Amino acid sequence: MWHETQFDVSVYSGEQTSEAFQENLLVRTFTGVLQKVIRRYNELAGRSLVNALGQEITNAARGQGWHIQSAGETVMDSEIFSTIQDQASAYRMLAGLCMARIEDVLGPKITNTILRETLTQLDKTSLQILQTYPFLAITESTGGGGKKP
Amino acid sequence: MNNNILQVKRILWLAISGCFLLVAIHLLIYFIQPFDVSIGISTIATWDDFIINTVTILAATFSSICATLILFQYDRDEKGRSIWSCIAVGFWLWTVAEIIWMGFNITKTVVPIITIADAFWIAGYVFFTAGFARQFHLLYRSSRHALILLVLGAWTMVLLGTALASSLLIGGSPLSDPGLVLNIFYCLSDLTLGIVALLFTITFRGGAMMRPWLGIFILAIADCLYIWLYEIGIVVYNVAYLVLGIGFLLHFLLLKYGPSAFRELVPAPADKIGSAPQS
Repeated sequence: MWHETQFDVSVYSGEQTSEAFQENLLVRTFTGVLQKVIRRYNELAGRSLVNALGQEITNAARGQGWHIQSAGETVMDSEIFSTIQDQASAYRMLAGLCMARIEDVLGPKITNTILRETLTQLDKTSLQILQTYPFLAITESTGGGGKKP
Repeated sequence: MNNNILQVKRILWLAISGCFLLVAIHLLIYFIQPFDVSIGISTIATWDDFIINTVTILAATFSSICATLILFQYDRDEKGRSIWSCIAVGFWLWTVAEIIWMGFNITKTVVPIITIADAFWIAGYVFFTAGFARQFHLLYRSSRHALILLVLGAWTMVLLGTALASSLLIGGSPLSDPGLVLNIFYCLSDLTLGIVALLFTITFRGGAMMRPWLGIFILAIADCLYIWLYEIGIVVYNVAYLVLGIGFLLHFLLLKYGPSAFRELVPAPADKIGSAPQS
């Protein structure tokens, strides 16, 4: 026999309803949606405007102290938020900025179309997380979410 | 960032001032005709005609240069590059056509009904068709097959319309008045391209990318008008070319300096960005 150090083991539930799982889903949905939108924006507007957009998103995130970056068609989120509500709020702000800037260039009609196309391509799980923690909304005049003062 | 805004302001100020100057010169010549003296003994063209033609060429060149500048804002593998390659080539072909036509206008007593310039104008339409088709495909993701059918259909309608209008107006063989046939063809071609440009304008409405297409639409209509109303039409035509050039210039500046450089130039609309979360 040998002596083993005693450990305390904590078991975390891996259910989909756990907040950790939901946060992870939200990250993937947010980055996935934005990347699809930006990809289509790249096709229509070109790389120089996509780079300008990426710069704005990154700067806006940095200004809030978030580790979220956008470069080209890639959106990377390495931020750890205190709560999932904070996470959703941050995404709402950045998604709103993204859609507003795209709308400035392409106009509301195409922006809305891009958004609709992107959302129809989402899987059921991503749609559910988007409904639970909405960071995007389609309106008549704008394609993006975020609060309007 | 401030440097970009200053650059944009400087370039726009120069361009718009230049355009106003050209329009002023044209209107001065048009209404006062201060140089109503024949250029040479073998022609009835006057120095007023020379100046007005030069204004047209300068306006066309300005638009072509701006279209070319837009083209080079895209990388080789980008779809925008192929679209704007066609559009830029189209406008350069039209600029060459204007130069050739001016040559005939100021050196000949009677300008031939059909000249080599027409070959350049027609070639321009071919390139515009290619550019517009690529933009259409990019926007609406139409199948290649459907797009080819659409393009062929549109140009078939133009040719049929030309034949029908010609036979109605001439009454006899279209070959008896080739100049009229060509004018009808140009008018219908302009209207066709104008309709497509208008479609893109409406699609991009509210966005910065609307500007170049609105400019093309305006020029298409002005060109159609110019064909039938030469005297007043040429003023409208030149103004339309300059408006087009400004539209292209704005698009080039947008691509080069980014939308943020423009945001400072115009009064900002209500901020669309949501507020930061409270942590």
